[in-house]
Amino acid sequence: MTTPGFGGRASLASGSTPTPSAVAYRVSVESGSLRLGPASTGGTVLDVPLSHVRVRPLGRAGSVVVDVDESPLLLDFCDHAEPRGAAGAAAKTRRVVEAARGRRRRDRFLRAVHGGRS
Amino acid sequence: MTAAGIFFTHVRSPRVRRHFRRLVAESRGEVTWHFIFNPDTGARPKAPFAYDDPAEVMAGRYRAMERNGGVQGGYLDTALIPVLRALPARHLWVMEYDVDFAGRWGDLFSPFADNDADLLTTTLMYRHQDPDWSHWPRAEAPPWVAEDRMVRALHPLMRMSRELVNWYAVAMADAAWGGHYEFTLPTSALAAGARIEDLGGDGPFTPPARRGQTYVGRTPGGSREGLTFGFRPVRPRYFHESPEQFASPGMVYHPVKPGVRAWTKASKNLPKKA
Repeated sequence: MTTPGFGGRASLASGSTPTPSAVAYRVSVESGSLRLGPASTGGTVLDVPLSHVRVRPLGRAGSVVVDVDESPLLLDFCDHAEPRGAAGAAAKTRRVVEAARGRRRRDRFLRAVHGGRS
Repeated sequence: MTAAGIFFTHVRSPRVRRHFRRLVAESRGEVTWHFIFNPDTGARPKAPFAYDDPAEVMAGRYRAMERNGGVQGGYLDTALIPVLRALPARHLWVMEYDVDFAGRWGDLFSPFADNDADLLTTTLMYRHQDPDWSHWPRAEAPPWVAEDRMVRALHPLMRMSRELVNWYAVAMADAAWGGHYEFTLPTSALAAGARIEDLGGDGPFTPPARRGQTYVGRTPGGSREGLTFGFRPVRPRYFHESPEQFASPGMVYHPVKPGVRAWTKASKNLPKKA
């Protein structure tokens, strides 16, 4: 049976608490490795075997703490960008929908990490 | 947006304070400076603003720094990165107290205001171009980093983009990285696809228009005559105190030690015993 991989984008920073310094990354889980690269370049920031990775879901939306060699990284799979002019009920609905999307992306990511390790 | 900068020192004497005041006064339009004082060998300097815990932001490097006995000798990144991360500017300068400029500071920084490089630093060379660098024996990288992409630098004066500060802290989560941050920073930046440029000098990352500009330092061909920026010689007085001792106008100098013992492997900037 083929283990499902993961490919997507997340906002990411080192540490386990939210920070405005987070930036967008390409995130992939495949061939037994977690790979992270800046969304703005074609380069690689991190490429580690999943045996070095532990994951802890955080909260009800799309966040997860990824411990790499016991160093925490906070990944957020929600898109928090508010469309221009968004306000009131429409903005609130968008945030709820995006939280649900983020949660689904996080779940796929977690399945890929757990499946890739086994 | 004006860049932000941190002036990093382990000495807080009146002479260092005057040096800082000249820097602030002469580059007011280019960089907003913050005085960062690190009184000991740890990685929690005193800053005029709050920043995240270095043991959390740079967890792996922080543990390595503790095993090393302090930031001296290659782990200053554990103190710098959390402080830089707290500043909401697109470009972030780092200047150590023993860097000086033979001219008006604004003339040094203004040419870089429109430069989009992620890393501007000095003395950048590939491993094969400086195989005798004393920190290579402890340099360790993940297996996917090719040896011919390993780079060394000298960082008493550098500028990082806000993105690179983030990328570097994330990259260092991998315990496969090890050694001096003059290796880990430029090498991981290159792997991340960052734009890297030498501030001047004459090396493989020096843009043609800046060749021979900004400083005279070590090159792939070895040390140059008239060296202004390197490990030695030590100058005892700042430019504003004795301008006649700075032979090359418009150049950056390092190290200048105003009544401060020069760094050695034996002293390691440790506080003097009472």
